[in-house]
Amino acid sequence: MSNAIEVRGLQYRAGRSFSLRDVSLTVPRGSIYGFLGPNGAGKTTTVRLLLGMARREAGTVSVLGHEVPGELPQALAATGYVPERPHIYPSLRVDEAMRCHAAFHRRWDADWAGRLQRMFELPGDRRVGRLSKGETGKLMMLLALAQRPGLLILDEPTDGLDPMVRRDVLTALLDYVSEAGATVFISSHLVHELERMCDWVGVLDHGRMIAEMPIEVLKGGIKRIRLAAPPTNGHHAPFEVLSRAHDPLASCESWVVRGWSDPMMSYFDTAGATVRDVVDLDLEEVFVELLRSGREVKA
Amino acid sequence: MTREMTQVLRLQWLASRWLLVPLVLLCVALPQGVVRLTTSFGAQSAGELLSAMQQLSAVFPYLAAITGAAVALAAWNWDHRINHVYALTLPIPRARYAFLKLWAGAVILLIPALAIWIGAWIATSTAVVPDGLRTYPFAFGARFLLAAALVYGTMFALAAGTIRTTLIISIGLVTIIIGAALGLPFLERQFEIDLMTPLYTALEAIGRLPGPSQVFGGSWLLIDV
Repeated sequence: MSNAIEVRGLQYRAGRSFSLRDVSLTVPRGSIYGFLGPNGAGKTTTVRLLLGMARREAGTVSVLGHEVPGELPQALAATGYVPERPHIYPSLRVDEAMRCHAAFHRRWDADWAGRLQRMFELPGDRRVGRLSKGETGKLMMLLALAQRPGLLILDEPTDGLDPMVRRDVLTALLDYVSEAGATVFISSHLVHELERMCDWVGVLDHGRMIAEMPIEVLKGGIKRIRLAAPPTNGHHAPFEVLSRAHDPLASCESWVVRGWSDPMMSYFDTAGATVRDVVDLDLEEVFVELLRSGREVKA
Repeated sequence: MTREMTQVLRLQWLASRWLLVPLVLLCVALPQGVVRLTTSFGAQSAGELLSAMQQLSAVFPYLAAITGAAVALAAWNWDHRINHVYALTLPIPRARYAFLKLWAGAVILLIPALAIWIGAWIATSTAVVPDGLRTYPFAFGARFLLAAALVYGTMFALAAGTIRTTLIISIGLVTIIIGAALGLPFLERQFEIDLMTPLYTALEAIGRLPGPSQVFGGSWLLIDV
């Protein structure tokens, strides 16, 4: 069994305005998978479907080899979850929340939970509802990690947290992943954050998957090329043109292409164009271009 | 008792303890109040005492219903506040989680039941009972527990879903009742068949012996012949 999560042909509809259409994704075991998408793309809905919290219309979902929802308890026993909004009973004290969580998770590591509590400086006698946003984020991460899961599903885990808290939370996460070899499925729209830690990326927009690949392939294959005397169209190009824009100041055109490799330079020589430079894009630029091209295709 | 059961019981206790305080106080005080009032109004003969007690004892079925409903609503209150997300991510079958909550609430329900039994026992043991009458504190406590448990079970099932689900079920029930009241006489006239008799029989089965809600209709007297 090589994949931690396998989703095939997932369909879901919520009202008339939102649906997931034929979503398929594969999260390799041991990977850190960034699930990217703008607000409202359907990331949280997908996460809820992975955890059996919503009922799909069609498709199959498998988490750590367990079919969802048929074998949901087995899947949840090995999955740590940090939701977008706090999900712990606000009237409980921190210590009580930890005791409660421990009772349901057989692999709960009390020693490590205690160490994380001290590291995160979480007051045991404080009610969960009285914790700051940062402290609540730390507590949710503590609960997810101390159950020693094989898979962590994190839905915008650092959204709204200050940089110090964000660093603490991500450090604890990465320490655990490197020690336990766990898989992480992290949904976020904070692209820069994911760029530093993920090795796989999936991009969701308007309920459709528009890309899924290793991050190096994604970043390496998408370039911005500045051209003088560009061809009028790129229909026969050996790469996919995601966007093209005229730059009047530099009197050239800027193309964003997918599937680029250096030998393809000969295409421009043949077409009579001059390549001024080929620039790597960071993940955020790649993400924006993917969204833009995906929406143009849809339109 | 497993660790899961202990924790669910603990959670339920934390969620309902402040609600239980006034209920327990009422459960201890009301039987004594009823007995004191009955005797202080100058009920000298057995008949007068029974008559006065019958009127005042009408409060107990309501107390049982309020107690059962309060414990049931407290059972799901915390889950509603976080849209059930925590419960849905626990690695146990959902039916088992619901059963654990039902069980924990039933255990908590024993507290007001015990309180009313203590209140009834103190009230009857300190009262001057006319000849020919006997006290029934234990039977009274058992009746209270059964009535509260009946309401608890019903309200627990209703409150288990989302507020939307609860509304749909409630509106559905009201629609069925109104539909039956208006539609059945019409159907009877149209097709010349007897539909009301089976309906009344069914309702009577629920409301009378051996129907479950009979526990509300019987004698709630602490002192009887």
